[in-house]
Amino acid sequence: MEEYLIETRGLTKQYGSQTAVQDLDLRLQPGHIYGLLGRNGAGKTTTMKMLLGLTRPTRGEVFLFGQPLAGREKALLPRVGCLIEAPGFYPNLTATENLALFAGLRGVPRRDAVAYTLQLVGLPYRDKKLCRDYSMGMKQRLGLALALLHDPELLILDEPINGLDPIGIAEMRVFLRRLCDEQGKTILLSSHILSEIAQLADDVGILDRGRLLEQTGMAALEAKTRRYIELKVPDARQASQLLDSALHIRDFTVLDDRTLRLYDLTLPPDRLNRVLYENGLTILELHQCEDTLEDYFRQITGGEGIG
Amino acid sequence: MARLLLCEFRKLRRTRLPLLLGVAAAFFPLFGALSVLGGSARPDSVYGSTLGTLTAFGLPFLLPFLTGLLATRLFFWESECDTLKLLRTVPVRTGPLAVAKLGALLLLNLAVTALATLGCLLAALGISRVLLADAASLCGLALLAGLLQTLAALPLVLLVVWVRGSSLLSLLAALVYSIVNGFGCLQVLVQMGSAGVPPEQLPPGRQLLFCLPGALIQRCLFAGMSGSPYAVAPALLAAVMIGMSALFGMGIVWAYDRWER
Repeated sequence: MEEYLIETRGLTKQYGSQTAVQDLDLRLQPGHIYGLLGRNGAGKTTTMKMLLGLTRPTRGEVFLFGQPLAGREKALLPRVGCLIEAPGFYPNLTATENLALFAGLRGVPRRDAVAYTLQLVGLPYRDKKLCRDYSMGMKQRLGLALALLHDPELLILDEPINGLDPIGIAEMRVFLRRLCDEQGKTILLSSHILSEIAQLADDVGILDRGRLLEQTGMAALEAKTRRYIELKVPDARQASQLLDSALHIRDFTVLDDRTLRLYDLTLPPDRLNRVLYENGLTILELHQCEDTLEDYFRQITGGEGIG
Repeated sequence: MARLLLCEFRKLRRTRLPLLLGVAAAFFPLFGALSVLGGSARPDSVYGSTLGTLTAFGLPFLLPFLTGLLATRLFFWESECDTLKLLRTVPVRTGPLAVAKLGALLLLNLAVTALATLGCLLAALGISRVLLADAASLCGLALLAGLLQTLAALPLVLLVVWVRGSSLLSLLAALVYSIVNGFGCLQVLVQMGSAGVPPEQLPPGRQLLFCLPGALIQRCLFAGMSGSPYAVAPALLAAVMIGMSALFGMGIVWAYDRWER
């Protein structure tokens, strides 16, 4: 069995003087869900297009199932299902007709593949509704159906929850997880919605301005996100001086004139409260908190966040 | 390739195109029948008004325009529906896809020609109530003319694919091409009918017009029969059409691949 289902080495894409993706070394293990996280314009879609041979890389290599993609598209791409950007389909046809067309092209052997796939994504079989009349959610489902039609081992999904309502997002999450856990599929999905990646992915890659800043397991990422105590006091400056002089604590940050974050958790809260109270400072609020993935993302990208 | 070709036809389901092609095919039988009403009802005259008009005038004007319309629809459909990325991950390369589209274009034009020919035959049969002995060869000539006029319109298809402009631009190009082609064909027939000036004595502009593919077809199909100085040998026409098809066919595949990458 291949060590990695997807591997890229120094993958780079330049458009003139603009670098969309630079020196990307991505690795996706079989049976995992890999979340590629990044802001709009980070290079997620460009990366996925290069993985599928839709865009030729400027430099670097793409390996699928342990083999180089270049020159072996005919052998490798039938093992991959994809949903890139907005789902594409023929609007004058029904969902069944669209799927039947692609099933014919792909030579899908299973006779009930169209019916089965539609049932899997929750769309009606032999419905008379034309695809041009579909809602956004139904179009996304149809796009997913087209990706699943030929029962691929690997799915490459570009923002699959785009345009879905909250219930649709939750259903999609459960569905993708089931595909991985019960059917053994490997999934690479991209998103700019951190919470969805956090709930779904086994591995995470953080892409910013075309560079892969971090690539790690979700468990390791959660271990890295820091715990802290958030204090609200009438005077944060006075409190910070007390922390330093009286308690010898320097691992903290002042957020504003009333709020501090204390990262040193060895200090018992009652001692902290006593020292501040004896110096005339009342603790207005005290919470034990954890850095969210968004905070972590902001830290490593040095940016304003995912928006 | 057969699967790709079949897919091209499946994509046309529920579009207005089949209706448009049917109407176009029905136009000439109707036109021919109406033109007979004012003239002679002799069988050869009736067949001339229907099948003859179709072959001599109808197809040179109609088919290039239809070809332009069909090319716009067939070659741009994947871009409009955003399905090319899906096709390429099947994987289907743009080269074979373009060949399939050309095949569909040819078959659709032949279908229109066959329908129009059948319509004209039935109209002539209905009016004259006699099946002319030459009817089969007249029908064969119409079908051959349809095939050749489609091949002669390949430069228009290349223009449509190359420009990738709006549908309006493609329509205008198709209209202009069909008028020029039809006019050239008409001029050949008029010149053959008049007291013959040999082609080499014509002004250069007219000589050029008579060397356009559509005009060459007319010169081979009609002038050859009467031994006119405008006649073009079938072998020469075949060589020209094969060369043109190969050259412009490859150009179309190259242009489509270039744009869709």
